[in-house]
Amino acid sequence: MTFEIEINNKPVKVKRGETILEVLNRIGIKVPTLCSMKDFVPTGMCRLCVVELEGRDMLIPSCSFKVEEWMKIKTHSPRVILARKTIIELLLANHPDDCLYCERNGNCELQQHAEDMHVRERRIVGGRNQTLVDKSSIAIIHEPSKCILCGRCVRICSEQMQIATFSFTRRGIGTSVRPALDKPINSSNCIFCGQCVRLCPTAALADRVNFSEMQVYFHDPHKKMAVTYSPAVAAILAEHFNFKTSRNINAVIHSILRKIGFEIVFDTSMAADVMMVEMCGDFLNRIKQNGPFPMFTSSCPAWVKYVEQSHPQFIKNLCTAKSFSQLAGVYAKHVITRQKSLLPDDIYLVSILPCTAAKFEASRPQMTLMGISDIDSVITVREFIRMINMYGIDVHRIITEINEDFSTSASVSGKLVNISGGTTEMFLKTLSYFITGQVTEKSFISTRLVNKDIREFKVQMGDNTFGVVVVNGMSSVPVLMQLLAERQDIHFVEVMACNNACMGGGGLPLEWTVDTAKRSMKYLLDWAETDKIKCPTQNVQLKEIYKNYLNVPMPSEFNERLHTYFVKRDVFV
Amino acid sequence: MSEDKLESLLQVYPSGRQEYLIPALQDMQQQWGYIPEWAIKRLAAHLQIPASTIYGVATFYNQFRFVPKGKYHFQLCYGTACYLFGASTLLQELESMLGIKDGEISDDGIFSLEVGGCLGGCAQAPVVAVNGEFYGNLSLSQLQKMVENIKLEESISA
Amino acid sequence: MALSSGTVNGLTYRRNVSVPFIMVGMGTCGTIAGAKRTFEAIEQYLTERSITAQCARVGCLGLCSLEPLVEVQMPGRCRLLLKNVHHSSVASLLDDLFHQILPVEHAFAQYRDESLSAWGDVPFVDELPFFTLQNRVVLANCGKINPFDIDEYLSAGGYKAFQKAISGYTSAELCDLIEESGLRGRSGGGFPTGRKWKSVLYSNAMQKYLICNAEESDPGAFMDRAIIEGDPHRVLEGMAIATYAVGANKAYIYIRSEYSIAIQTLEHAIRQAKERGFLGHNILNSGFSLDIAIKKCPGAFVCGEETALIASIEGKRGMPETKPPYPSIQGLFKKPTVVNNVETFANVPVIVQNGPAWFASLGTTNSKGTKIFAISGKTKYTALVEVNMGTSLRKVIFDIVGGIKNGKRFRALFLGGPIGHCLTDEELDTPIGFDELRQAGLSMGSGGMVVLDEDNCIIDTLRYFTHFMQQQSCGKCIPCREGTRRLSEIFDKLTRKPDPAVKAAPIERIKGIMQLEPLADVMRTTSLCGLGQSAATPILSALQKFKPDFEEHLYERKCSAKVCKQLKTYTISPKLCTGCGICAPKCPTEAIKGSLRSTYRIIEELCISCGKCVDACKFNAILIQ
Ligand SMILES: Cc1cc2nc3c(=O)[nH]c(=O)nc-3n(C[C@H](O)[C@H](O)[C@H](O)COP(=O)(O)O)c2cc1C
Ligand code: SF4
Ligand code: SF4
Ligand code: SF4
Ligand code: SF4
Ligand code: SF4
Ligand code: SF4
Ligand code: SF4
Ligand code: SF4
Ligand code: FES
Ligand code: FES
Ligand code: FES
Repeated sequence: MTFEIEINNKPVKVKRGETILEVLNRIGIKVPTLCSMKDFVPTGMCRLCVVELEGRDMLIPSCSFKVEEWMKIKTHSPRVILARKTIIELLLANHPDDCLYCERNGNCELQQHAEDMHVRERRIVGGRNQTLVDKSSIAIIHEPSKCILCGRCVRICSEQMQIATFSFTRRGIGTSVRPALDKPINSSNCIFCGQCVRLCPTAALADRVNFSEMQVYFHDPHKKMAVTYSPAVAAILAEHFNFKTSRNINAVIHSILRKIGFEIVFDTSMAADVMMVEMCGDFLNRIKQNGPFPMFTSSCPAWVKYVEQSHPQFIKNLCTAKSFSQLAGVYAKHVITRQKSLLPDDIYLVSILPCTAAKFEASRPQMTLMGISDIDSVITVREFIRMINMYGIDVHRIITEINEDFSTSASVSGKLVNISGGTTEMFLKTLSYFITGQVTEKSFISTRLVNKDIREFKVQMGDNTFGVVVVNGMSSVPVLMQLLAERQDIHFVEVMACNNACMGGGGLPLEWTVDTAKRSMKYLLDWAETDKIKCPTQNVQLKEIYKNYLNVPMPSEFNERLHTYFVKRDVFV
Repeated sequence: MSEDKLESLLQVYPSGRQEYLIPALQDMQQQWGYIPEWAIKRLAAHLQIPASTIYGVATFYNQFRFVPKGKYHFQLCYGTACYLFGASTLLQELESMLGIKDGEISDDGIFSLEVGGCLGGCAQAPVVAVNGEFYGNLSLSQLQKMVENIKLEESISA
Repeated sequence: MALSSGTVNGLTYRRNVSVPFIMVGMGTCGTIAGAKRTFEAIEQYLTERSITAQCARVGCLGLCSLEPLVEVQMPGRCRLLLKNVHHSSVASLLDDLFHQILPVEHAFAQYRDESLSAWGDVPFVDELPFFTLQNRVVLANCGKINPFDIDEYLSAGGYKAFQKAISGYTSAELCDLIEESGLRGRSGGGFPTGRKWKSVLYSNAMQKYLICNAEESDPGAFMDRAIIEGDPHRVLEGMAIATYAVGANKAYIYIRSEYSIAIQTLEHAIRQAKERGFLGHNILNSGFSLDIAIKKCPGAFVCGEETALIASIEGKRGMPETKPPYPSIQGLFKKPTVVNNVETFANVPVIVQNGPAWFASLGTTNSKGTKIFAISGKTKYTALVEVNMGTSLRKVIFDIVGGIKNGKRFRALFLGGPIGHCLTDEELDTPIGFDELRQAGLSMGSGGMVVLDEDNCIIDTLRYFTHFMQQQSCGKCIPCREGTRRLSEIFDKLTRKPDPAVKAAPIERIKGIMQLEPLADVMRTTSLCGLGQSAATPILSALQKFKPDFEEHLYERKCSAKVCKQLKTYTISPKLCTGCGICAPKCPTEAIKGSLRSTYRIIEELCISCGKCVDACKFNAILIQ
């Protein structure tokens, strides 16, 4: 039902049930917000979005008020502007004056609001909450003194990710967002998905930035700098930098990385093929030994940590194959080095990913073998973009160069592993070859159907029928657990912790939205269609690598370089 | 021992319902005088509520403590009437004599201090309670004597 | 036991007793004053001497400062009201009474009864303004009946209204009746109770809830506690009628966990009412069922706010939610919920019993009935009183509770505690009533009155309130969370010595005062709930009325009430100082210098105005300016 209300003296048609803020956004009036989150029930916490109702003394928050017939709204009256400005000034009065040294300098919502409101004076002064910075975790840094208590992290983490690492604690001026019992993040139940980091309006939550640490090694004469990136990174950059689809984005990224100073640059796709094969190895073993089923994917480190801490009874269900990103490390340190007559320790490997949890994964002790870690440093796409700026690279004008490393051929799996359902599709394809001896043309799962939260289906392979479940985002994990409790006929489960899998990962640019995620996903799918090798088992180079460098059968049994193990974690959940 | 106590205490509350969180915490507080860390873990599992949520709820309210009570638990009323009759001076004195602040316990476990709202004895303001026993119309010197007596007693018995 | 009773100014009492009858006020205030030990001493006295007498514990009569209060009725004699009966004086007092001697220092009043012989030289209750100027309707039974005995409530006419309601009225008729009576919410907002009930009654939900708000953590208020401790069944009866009227079947009492006596009283009363069939399943064969549960608030002022209260019952942090939706549409567990104050419910039985017209005949045009106040601070009595709406505040403070103690001057009245207004002497003539007070730019508040005399400092009291609010803000919304802190800092700066490290201290102090009004206004208009919206009310109302106080603290750095310790200058009078040297080691900052037998001096820069030296000096040689 529609009716008319008055906004800034003009009649506006509105629908019943819409909030004032929705109407304002629709008609192009911008009202500042801090606590409001798209697709979440408004809490009305920050009061920054207040508007004036004619004839009313109290200002009302537009995000949490629905339109009503009698409303005459003023969105930018002097009273409203003063109130909003005062609210920002109140926040600033209890905020460290740290902008120039801050992770979010120039990209901070609080800073932007202060600028928009033209705050030019410390009008409100007084004490500030001083708290220690929690740098305990390898992936996420928490600096409570910069927290403005908007609640976004609390909500995304509990309502979407189902983890609830943070909660509001204490009250009044002592209110603070903290993990259980004020424990540091590294001993909390955080799965390092980084969703909260992307949503935090300030630098109260930030990822641990590794690139400056990594830069040191550019000057180390004993190290050759190597870098790997996934096709997803290419798709994200293509979207972020607005590339014409005709540009060869891989060539651009290669050139950027070489310009920054990396000597060895390669795409993780080959490692994705290794992962598919090794997943089949584990799965075939399970068939031989009658379980345990279902086998869970373990390529998403956030999901892995979740299982370890919350469902230790399922640890044995996690696939023991290392994730493609870790396998890329194995590939670099044990294959590329030998191709180039180097020792594993001669290279310093950086992995660029859309994922913050991968930082944590790379630091797991089981990812280091005899003092040589698979990956030396994980940086997020966000950090990569910052490096591009730091090294003064104009991505649109860079002269692209192609070199030998670039020519590694791999199957389509590298393009799909970061998309929900992609791992399942490629795994089943590979498995089908190992079971039937033939490469199948058919698609097991339409990857174009990615935005469904949870899908369940059966596949027929030889004499076997396998039950498969694909979960897109932690929010469907409770449904999955319910399903597993009730059913015995599920053999394979893929879980990617982030909504839209890695295309909604925690290491993406801050202004990333669902729309941008969808567009870059489309790039990946389009690229995948043009790829010639449709199944890892058709990858000739892969076979050679197994034979000449890894010296294991394809697929291997449990190989300590290609496989890993998991541990129960005793944290407050 | 304590674990058994907790189990029997939890039995009263059906699993998975957040509305029983506060009563359960109140029972724990009653039982031990504070909320022990291990009990939060168990409570989280029983009620199926994240531990962070439990901690967030517990720290919101005045009643819950996370450190044990001392042998002598001082409660000082800081309600309006008591304030008007000098509770702030008493507080200062208590803090300096006991060497602890609101919500803390002394290192030797003898004293703990809690500053709270009106205890209901406004006509006797200012009011201090020690282990639940009320002392009204308390003067600074009476309070000092009280603490000194306890200290004396403790040093003799020790 | 059928009791024959008489009534004096709404105070019911029993007439003929065959054995001595002794009642001890054992509400919280009485207990803190030692009533429990008094009661034990009485029982011990009686057993030791094998005297047959009847003892009972009652709730409070409202004369907190005279606690422990004991009422004694000797056969054939008028009932005596005895004050300050501490356990140590029990024996001599009872000795006196059993010898028909009046214990003069304890005798406070007696109840007039022509058929009994009076005690000489003791005022009659109907002569004391404390009683005659009150109209104890809701408090009629408080301090008069044993709250642990449902029979006493029944014989005082209890549960008749409830029976009348469920047998003679439909839900809608009851809502109409309450609306007609003009009853408005007693928590301070004055929302028409009948209207609230109707919106729940007419919401089409299967499950509805009712909540009695007994949080009362406004410091200085104890009306609700006293009602519950003195007459719990009246509250239960009111709730039962209300639950029936709105079509709910589950009710909660949300009460501060600190109110342990009130909680015990309620638990006991609920059990008794269940046993007698006034609560439970299919009550009195009417088909109506009601279950009442007690929820103990673990301590947070904001949980008195209804949406925060609901969150707290649901087991969450007590943080308010934005309204709308109001609880009457979407409340507890997202179901329609009535939330009313204890006193509101306590009014219901007598309205149903006596009819809406009777109730509407009390009070003013728009504020009907009576209102209970808890008065503390510098008045002669700290007390609980109930007066007709329309009574002036002056009458309450100067006539009923005896004006200011020790002949001091009245300074200010804080009406409604930390979120209420601050009143001057001239404003005391305002009649009590929701609209009457609002027209005067004031508001009723919940009923807590804190009275200051000339020895109190307005600025310091405001500072106390701002600190209280800062601690009690739930922290959810920015204007309140950050604003209350800045307000308290502004008052800290006014009342404290500037920190020598801050160079611009005077400027910051003055800046603070300049920010006060605009900041308070943003807090008022943008905060999420009533706490933040009214956190600055006392300040704004004091700002104009007590301007000299502000200015004195601001510019002259002086507190003429001599409360703000840090604004005092300590000096040693050379005339009075004997050079004993006792003060010097007591000074925490070693600000006192001198040598034995010469005049000691205080180095002003070092002195932190702690006052320790003043306590130490036996010769009163240390002067405070
Ligand atoms: C900060 C705040 C504290 C409150 N505290 C109380 C309280 O202690 N007791 C109470 O009955 N109402 C309190 N209220 C009012 C309640 O929100 C609610 O309006 C009331 O219980 C309704 O009852 P009534 O209609 O019978 O007055 C408070 C409101 C606010 C904003
Ligand atoms: S979080 Fe924003 S406002 Fe705060 S210091 Fe960093 S950049 Fe500045
Ligand atoms: S914005 Fe101003 S303060 Fe900040 S760096 Fe630029 S000139 Fe300096
Ligand atoms: S990184 Fe993910 S799991 Fe960790 S706190 Fe943030 S949202 Fe929660
Ligand atoms: S940490 Fe960031 S997202 Fe979380 S409440 Fe604070 S400001 Fe908001
Ligand atoms: S879904 Fe992708 S980005 Fe998100 S945590 Fe898992 S691996 Fe990382
Ligand atoms: S006004 Fe204060 S108490 Fe109310 S919601 Fe906001 S912060 Fe909480
Ligand atoms: S008031 Fe305190 S600081 Fe000042 S001189 Fe006396 S003892 Fe010392
Ligand atoms: S205690 Fe009093 S008399 Fe003695 S030295 Fe100090 S000021 Fe003088
Ligand atoms: S965006 Fe509306 S209150 Fe925060
Ligand atoms: S203010 Fe202290 S007992 Fe009431
Ligand atoms: S006499 Fe009971 S409240 Fe004071």
